Amino acid sequence: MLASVGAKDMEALLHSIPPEVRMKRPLQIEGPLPESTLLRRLEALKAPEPRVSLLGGGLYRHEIPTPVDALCGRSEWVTSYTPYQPELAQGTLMMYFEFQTYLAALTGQEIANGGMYDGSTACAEGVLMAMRLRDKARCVYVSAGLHPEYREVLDTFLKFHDVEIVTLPIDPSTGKTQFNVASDRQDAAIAMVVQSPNFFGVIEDGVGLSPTAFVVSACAEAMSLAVLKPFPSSIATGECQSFGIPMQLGGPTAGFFATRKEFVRQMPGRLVGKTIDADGKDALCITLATREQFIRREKATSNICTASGLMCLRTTTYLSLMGRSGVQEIAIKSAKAAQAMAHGLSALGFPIVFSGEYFNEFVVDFSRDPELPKRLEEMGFLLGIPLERWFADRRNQRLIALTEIHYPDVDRLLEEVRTHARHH
Amino acid sequence: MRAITEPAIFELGSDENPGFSCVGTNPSVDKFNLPFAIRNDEMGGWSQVNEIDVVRHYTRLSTLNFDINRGMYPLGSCTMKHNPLLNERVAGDPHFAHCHPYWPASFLKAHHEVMCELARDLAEVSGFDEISIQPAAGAQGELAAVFMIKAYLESKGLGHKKTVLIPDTAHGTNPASAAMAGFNCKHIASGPDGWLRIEDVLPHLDDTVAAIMVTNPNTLGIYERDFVKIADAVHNVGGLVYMDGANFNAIMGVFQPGKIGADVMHFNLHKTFTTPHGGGGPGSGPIGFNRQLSPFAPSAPGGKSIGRMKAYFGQWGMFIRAWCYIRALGGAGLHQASLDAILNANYLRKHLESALSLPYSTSTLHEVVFTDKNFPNGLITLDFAKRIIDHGFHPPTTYFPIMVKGAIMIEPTETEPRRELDRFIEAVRSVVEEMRTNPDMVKRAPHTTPVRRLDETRAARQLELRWRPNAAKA
Repeated sequence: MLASVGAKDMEALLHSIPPEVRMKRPLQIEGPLPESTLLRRLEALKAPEPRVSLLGGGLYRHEIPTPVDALCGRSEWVTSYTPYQPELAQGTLMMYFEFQTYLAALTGQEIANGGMYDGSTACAEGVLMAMRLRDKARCVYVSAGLHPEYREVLDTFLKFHDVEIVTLPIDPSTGKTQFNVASDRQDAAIAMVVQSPNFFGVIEDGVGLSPTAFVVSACAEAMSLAVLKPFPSSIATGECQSFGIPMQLGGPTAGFFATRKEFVRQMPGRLVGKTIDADGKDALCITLATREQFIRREKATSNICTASGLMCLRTTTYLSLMGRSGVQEIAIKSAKAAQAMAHGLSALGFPIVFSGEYFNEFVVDFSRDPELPKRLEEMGFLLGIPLERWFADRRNQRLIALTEIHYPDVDRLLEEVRTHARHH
Repeated sequence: MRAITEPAIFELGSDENPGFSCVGTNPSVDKFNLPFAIRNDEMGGWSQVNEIDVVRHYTRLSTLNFDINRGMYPLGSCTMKHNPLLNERVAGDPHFAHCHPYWPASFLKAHHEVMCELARDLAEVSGFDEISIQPAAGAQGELAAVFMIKAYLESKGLGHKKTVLIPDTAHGTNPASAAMAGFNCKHIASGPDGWLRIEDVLPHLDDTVAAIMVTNPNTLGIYERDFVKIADAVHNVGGLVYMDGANFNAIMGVFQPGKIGADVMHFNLHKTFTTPHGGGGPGSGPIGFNRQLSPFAPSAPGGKSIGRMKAYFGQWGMFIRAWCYIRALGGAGLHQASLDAILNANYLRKHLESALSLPYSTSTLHEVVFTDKNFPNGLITLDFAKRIIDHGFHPPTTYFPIMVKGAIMIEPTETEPRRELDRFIEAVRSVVEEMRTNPDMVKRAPHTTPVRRLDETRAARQLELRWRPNAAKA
């Protein structure tokens, strides 16, 4: 091969790169490792896993039925590219079309796009879109119930824009956002950003929210959408992880982005639409690409290119396999498990901090026995996320989430907590 | 032979079917009442489908796709190389799949070690002082980089620097990212040999220049010969140099961008480091940067950070795949991968330059761009791309880079064996020959796919973006 390209050796292929910029030494990187060595090396790094994990905070361990893994592992999905050549990608295009349909239905919106990176970036892109639609407005109101890391991402995206971000506090007793801003100021804002259920698990009821305000909603536990009425919003964003996607330390997952059809030209991300082929047969293709960076460049609605196709596929196959009633059953069992756990902890003298209704996640105060979570952790039982991580004033408060995985075991889990808790 | 097509899943469901169930019952839990009313709307025609129908539906759909495991996917600048199956196995290990970022660190020992080692490897291969693995994909890595540049300049009281220079060979994400950070983009034409000349950059350099964004090797597959001079000149006016790492597959062990004038660069783990493209993601876009930019990095401590780009750690599932790939090859293997990628691209160039038209005679690295200039009978790049499908190949990238009229951009990658390259060469030649002998056959291609050429204008005009029950019946 070298001879046929007129090169005397491999080095000759690099003649266009001046010697002074070339590396003068070999790369210092471990390997090559044979497969067996590599697997053994990884095995040796592993620490014991927790036995029980009641952690949520935007990532939930729901059951992933075997067919989801099996179907999504097919190389035709895994090793294909973004469907720019629709004749070779009708499978992927149909998957996106179904994904868009599912997310529009779940959010109660008219249209949804083909996915974002995750819930945090989808929320930030939602606010950027609101800014394009409402370019005279200068203020964004953000609920303190928005996931702290979503808020950090939003702050980053808005950092170099001339906008004011005002935080709306949550009511200390109900845990719901206090929309104590005059209606006309809400209406004049870029957006009201609200997460429901919020970071503390509380379902927002929108009391005090102007019905004519432009709302960007976020949802970090999409399983709740199967049973809760969607929070009324102009743009609905959120995280798909609960639908068949392993937590994977928080990535990759997929974000969703849904809105009204009239706003379609300001949407970020890929859209798949229906058309016909030369024979008049139904077919699908990427559409309205004129919004996208590879055509519109600096005037694009977003810089997003590669998004999260395989995770959209997992979401879609999960929703199809479970069916509407299956997903609703999972959502109900998750919520009931949370109810049972909350009641049980409460009875042990660990009160629920907020009175607002919750779906599958809630905040518990462990002041009565602050060392209990630590003692349980040593036994591989992780009792929620310490809120002190983000909120200095919430010492001894923990955010606890349950799913259908815990549903059969709530009594046993409560018994274990009772055994290790200091008595009243 | 035309394959069958498959209806949307919603046409296979029925409310008579039960939903899939994976939990039993538990009376002591079921006795609790839910504190909310359950929504009972139709949810757009979503009902229940039998397991066998779901399995067949997604299996059939998958067969309508073309994928690397079926054949060569020579998309220029996309680096569609083989995705080793070992990586999929490791990423699917429950220890690495079902882990939560807020678990105490003692449970995440392996994860932290893998992330640290990956960051160290990326620093070594790129020559940058530090790495942030947080960005979600290449475009987000770019965005993090331009945010960092902006924050750095503002911290120096240089907020008036608002111009970002972008050569015409750039990916669209470059100007889009720059615009999202509030920069103005100024486009620079490449020189007559397909690389950016210092003399074409100098007239644009003034006190307003914040940065230049350069892909190197560029999207013509050409090494940017004036890169060091350009970097020096931009630095001299107080600007920074962003290097787009989309084409990093050509340069592993060849040169280190961090040592030759680049201040910050993104990686695409899904290009260079074999994490799968997955029909449009997920990607992963770590960035490398020099020490002066460290305080501004995503989630860096010290109060100067641009902040967070994405919730949690980044794309862990991609990190572990890239970690495996890097270790399976080792330093020498990575360098060899780049050399082989360059050899394969030059082999194709040599054997296709008589059949296709080469706009630049400049030597190229891992990819090569041809044009449709010599196609007979009014046939164009689009026709070529569609007809090559009938020979069992995915088409190359077309009409990019944008300054090459009718561009056909080919990147075979190092993982294509010579036999496959020869088959591709044969196919390209036969399509070009057929353009003379049977142009209509080419014009109407593809002929072997599940659907024929699409009316893409109609999709934008009608805008049907979701399945609807009545549309199916009509």
